[in-house]
Amino acid sequence: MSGRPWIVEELNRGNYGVMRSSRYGEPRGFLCCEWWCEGYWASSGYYDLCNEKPTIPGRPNSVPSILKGLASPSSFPRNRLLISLWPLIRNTVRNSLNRSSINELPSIPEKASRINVNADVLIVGGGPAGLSVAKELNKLGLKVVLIEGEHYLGGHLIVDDAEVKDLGRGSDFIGKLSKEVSDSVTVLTDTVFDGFLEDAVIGHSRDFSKLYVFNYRYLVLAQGFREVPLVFPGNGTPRMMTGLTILKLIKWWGFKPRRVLVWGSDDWGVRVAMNLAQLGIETYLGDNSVIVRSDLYRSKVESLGIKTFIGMNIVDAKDSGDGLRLILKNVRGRKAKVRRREEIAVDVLVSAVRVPVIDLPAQLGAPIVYAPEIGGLVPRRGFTGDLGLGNVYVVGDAGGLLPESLIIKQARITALSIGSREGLVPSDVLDKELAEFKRDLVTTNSSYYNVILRFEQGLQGAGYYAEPNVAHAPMWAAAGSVEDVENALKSANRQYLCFCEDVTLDDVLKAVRVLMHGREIKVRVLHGEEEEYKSLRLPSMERIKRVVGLGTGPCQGKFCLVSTNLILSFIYQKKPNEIGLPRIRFPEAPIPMATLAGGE
Amino acid sequence: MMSEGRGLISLTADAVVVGAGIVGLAVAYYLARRGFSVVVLEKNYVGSGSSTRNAGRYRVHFGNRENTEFAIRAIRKLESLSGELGWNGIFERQGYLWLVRRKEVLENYEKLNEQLWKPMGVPVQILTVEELRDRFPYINTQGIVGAVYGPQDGAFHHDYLVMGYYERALDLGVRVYEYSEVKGVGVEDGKVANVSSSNVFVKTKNVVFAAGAWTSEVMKNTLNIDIPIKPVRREIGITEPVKPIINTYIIDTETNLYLGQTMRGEILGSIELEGEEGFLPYGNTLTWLTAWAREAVKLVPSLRKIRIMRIWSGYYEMTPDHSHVMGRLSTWPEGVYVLSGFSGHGFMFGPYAAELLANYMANGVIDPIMKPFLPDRFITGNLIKELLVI
Repeated sequence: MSGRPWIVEELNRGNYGVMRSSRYGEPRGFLCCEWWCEGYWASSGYYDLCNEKPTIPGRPNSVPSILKGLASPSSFPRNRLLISLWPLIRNTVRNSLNRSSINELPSIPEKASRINVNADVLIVGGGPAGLSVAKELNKLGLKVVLIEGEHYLGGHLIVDDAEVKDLGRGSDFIGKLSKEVSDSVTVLTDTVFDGFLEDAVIGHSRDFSKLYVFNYRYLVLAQGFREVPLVFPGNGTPRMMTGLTILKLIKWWGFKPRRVLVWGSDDWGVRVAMNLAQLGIETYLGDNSVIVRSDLYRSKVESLGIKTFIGMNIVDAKDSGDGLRLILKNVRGRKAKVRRREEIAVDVLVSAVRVPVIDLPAQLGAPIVYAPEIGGLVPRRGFTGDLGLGNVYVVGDAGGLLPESLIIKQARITALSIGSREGLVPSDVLDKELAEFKRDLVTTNSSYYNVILRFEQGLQGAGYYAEPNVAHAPMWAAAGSVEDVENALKSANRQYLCFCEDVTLDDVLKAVRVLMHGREIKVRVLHGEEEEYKSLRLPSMERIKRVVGLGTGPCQGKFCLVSTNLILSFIYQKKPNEIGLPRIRFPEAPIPMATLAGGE
Repeated sequence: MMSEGRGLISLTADAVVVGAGIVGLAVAYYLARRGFSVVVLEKNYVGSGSSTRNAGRYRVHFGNRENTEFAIRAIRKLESLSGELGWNGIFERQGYLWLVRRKEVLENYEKLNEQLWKPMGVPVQILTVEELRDRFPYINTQGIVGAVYGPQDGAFHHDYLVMGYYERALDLGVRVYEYSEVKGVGVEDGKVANVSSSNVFVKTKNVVFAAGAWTSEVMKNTLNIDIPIKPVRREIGITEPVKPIINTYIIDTETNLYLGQTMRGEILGSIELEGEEGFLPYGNTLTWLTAWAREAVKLVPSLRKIRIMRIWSGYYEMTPDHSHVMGRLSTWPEGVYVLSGFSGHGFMFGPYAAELLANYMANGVIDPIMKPFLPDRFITGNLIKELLVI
C-alpha cells in the first residue's frame, strides 16, 4: 500500500457508501481494510478497496425496494411466483447481481513461482502474540518462520498510541519487538496462510506472485481477533468500520471524522476510544454491559472526557447524509425502572467487538467450544496453547481474549513447551514458568484460568448456554431480557448478518422455521415447557447455511458465522455447540488460478 | 440376531429408508404419497453426503441405450421438480459441451449420435473448431479437433431440491431422524421385522437402502448382503463470483477437466484424476488443486485472474457397470430394497428412480424401464455395456 487510499478521499467528502451489496445493490455499511476483508469486498466485485486504485465494478444494479422481499435469501428459493416465472426471469436475476466482470479483475503477475519454506516452527500471525513466540523460539535456537497477512508487523498495536498496561505506549512497544524479530527471524509479510491440504500446507503472497509450500515441525497459530460487524436494526446503512481500520485511516492516511461512537468497551474498545479522544475527535463509547467492561482502562474513560452509553443497545440507525443518526435505549431487563433513550449523530460507528480467529484450528478439526469468559467461541487447548493435534499450538487472542502483557507471558510458555519437546528446555524450567504463568492468571484473570483449567480437565464448556451479558459476544447476544429479545426480533429484517450475501436475521429465522417444519420455537418459554423445549433440537448452522447461503460468499463466513451462532443460541436459549458452525473449508483467502497454475 | 428395543425412540412404520440424501428423501416422499408411513434414518445430517457435494449438472446423453432411455425420463422428472416441491431448482438448460482432441473419439460421438441419441429424440450438435470458436469464444481451441454440444443438458441447485423433498416429505408425515446411524435389521421368517439405529427402533416390514456411497457398507453390516458399490473420492472447487461468462458446461474429454458457472456467478469445476477407492477422508490435495487450475487456465485463458474461494470433496458411488442398482433380489429377506450405486448420476436420476421404486414397492409391478438396473445383473453377469464412456 503506497499512496493514499481512494476511500479516504471519498470518506472525507462525506461519501461513506463506497460499496454496493451483491444482491440488493444497497450502499453497504461496513468498511474494513484488513487483509481478511478481501473476500467481503469481492462478494460484490470490489478488489484492493483500501488501495490507491481499487477495482470498482461498473454500473452497479439495485433491487427496487418493492422487490426486495422476493429477492431475499429466504424467500427467493421458495416463492411460488418466482418459481413459475423462473424461465423468464433467470437471466435478469443472474445479470442483476453485483459482480465484477472477468476482465475487470485486478491483474496477476505473469509468472508465479512455487517456493518451499522449511522451518522448525512456523508462526501464523505477526501481532504481539506471534512476535513474542518468535522471539522466544529464536532464543532457543530454533529455525522460525513467521508469516503475516498485512504488509506490516505488529497487529492492532501498531496504531495504538495509548498506554498499554505494563508495556508502555502500544505502538512503541510493538515497534521495538517487530524490529527485534524481523532482524533475527525470517518474516514473510503480505503473505496469507491458506491452510491444510492432504499433501501440502500452503500459502500465497498477496501480490499473487508466490505460492508457498510450508514444511514445519511445529505450527503456532497467532491470528488474534477480528472485529466483526455490529448487528442492530439498520446496520446495513453506511458508516460502520472496525477499530483497527478507523485508526489506520486517521493516523496513516488523514481521514478526518469529527464524531465517533466506539462500540465495545473491553480493553481494546476503550483503547480505540482513548486513541480517538487523544486525536481531538469527539468520542463516545457504548456497550450493552452494565459497566465499562475493561478493568484495566476503565478509569481512563472519564479522565479523557469520553461520553459513555453503557448498558444500552442501538435500536435504530439511519444515515441522514451528514451523519449516522443512532437511537440508543437502555437494556431494560425486568428491574430497570428508569428508561433512557438517547439520540446521537456520529460520522462513524466503530465496531470494536472482537471475535477470536478460529478458522485455522477449525479447518484442522480442533474442537471449537463456547467459553464466554474469554471471547465466545474458541478452540479447545491447554495452558501451553497445545491444541492436542500433535504439533499445533494456538497463542494470543486467537485462543481466547487476554490482556497483552499476559499474552506475552503465554507466548513464552508456548515457546518453552516446544523447546522442551525438542529437548532444548529442561522440563522443570517449563514446569516452573508454567506455574508462575498460572499464578499470574489466577491473580489477574481468574476466569481465564478457570476456562483453560476446564479445557485441560476435558470439561469443554459444551454444556454452557449463551449468556446474556458475556464479555465479548456480539452486541445482540447481550440484549438483556426476553422482552428485549422480542423487541429486537421485530426488526429482524433490518439486521444484516451476512454482508456477502445480504442475509438478514429475518432470513435466518425463516430458515430455522422451515427447517423446524413449522414447529414453533418460542423466545418466551413458559413454566412447565422447559423440559420439552430443552429436548427440542435446533437445525445446525450447516443446514441453515444451505437454505439461505449464510457464509457461502467469498469471505467464507469470517464476518457472520460466530455472531450468528451466538445470536441464535441466545434467542433460542440453546447451547452454542448444539447449533455448531458449518465446516470451515480451505482456503483461508481466495487464490487466483494463475498463482496455483504457475506455482507448479 | 438383533438387540431389539435398544433404541431410545420406538416407532412403527410401513417402510424405513436408510439415508436422507436426494435419493432417500425422494423415496420417502413418493412412498408417503402412496400411503406408506415412512421413517428416514440418516447417520449424519440431511443431505450431508454426495447430495450437496456434487456439481449440480444433468444430462440425457449416455454411452448406452439403457441409461440414455432412463435419463430422458429422469430429466423430464427432474426439470418438473420446482413446481412439484415448491422449491426453486434453479434449472437451466445450459447444455453440455464435450471438447474432443482426437479424431477417432469424435467419430465415436458421431456414431453414438446417429445410432442412439438421434433415434431417441435427443440429438447432439457436432461442432467444428470454427463453430466452437464462434459460439464459445472464451475457449482456447488449440489441440481441439471438434466438439459435441448437447442442448438438452443442464444445471440445477442441489441444496434447494434436497430441502424441497425434505419439507414435502415432512408435510406428508415422514419422520426424519438425523445423526441416527443404522446398526441392525431384524429378520423373522425371512421377512424384515425391524430396523434399529443408534437412537431409533422401528417395527417395519420394508427397508430401502438409499445410503449412496455407504450403501454397500451398511447392507453388509446389517444383513450380510454383498452389493458391489464402491466409494470413489472426487475433489471439486468453486471460485469467487463474477459476471456471466461461461454459458455451458465444458468437459475436456482428454484431460477430464470440467467447468461451469453457477447462477450466482461462481466458476465451478474440477479435474478428474485417478480416484482411489474407499472412504478417504473429505480432504483435498495440492496435486489436484494445481492440476485443476493449470488445465482450467489453459482451456479458458481469461480464468487466470479468477480466485478459487472454496474446495471440497465427495464420493461417487461406483458400480462395476457405472449404472445404478434398484429393486431387490429374491434371495434377500422379504422387504429389503436397494436404490443406490448411481455412479455420479444420483441427483439427476434419483427422483425418477425413487418414484419407480415406490411404485414397485406399492404394487409389486416392475416397470420395464427399471429392468436393466435390477441387482440380479451382478449375479448373472448381464451388465450394462458402455458403448462410450462419457
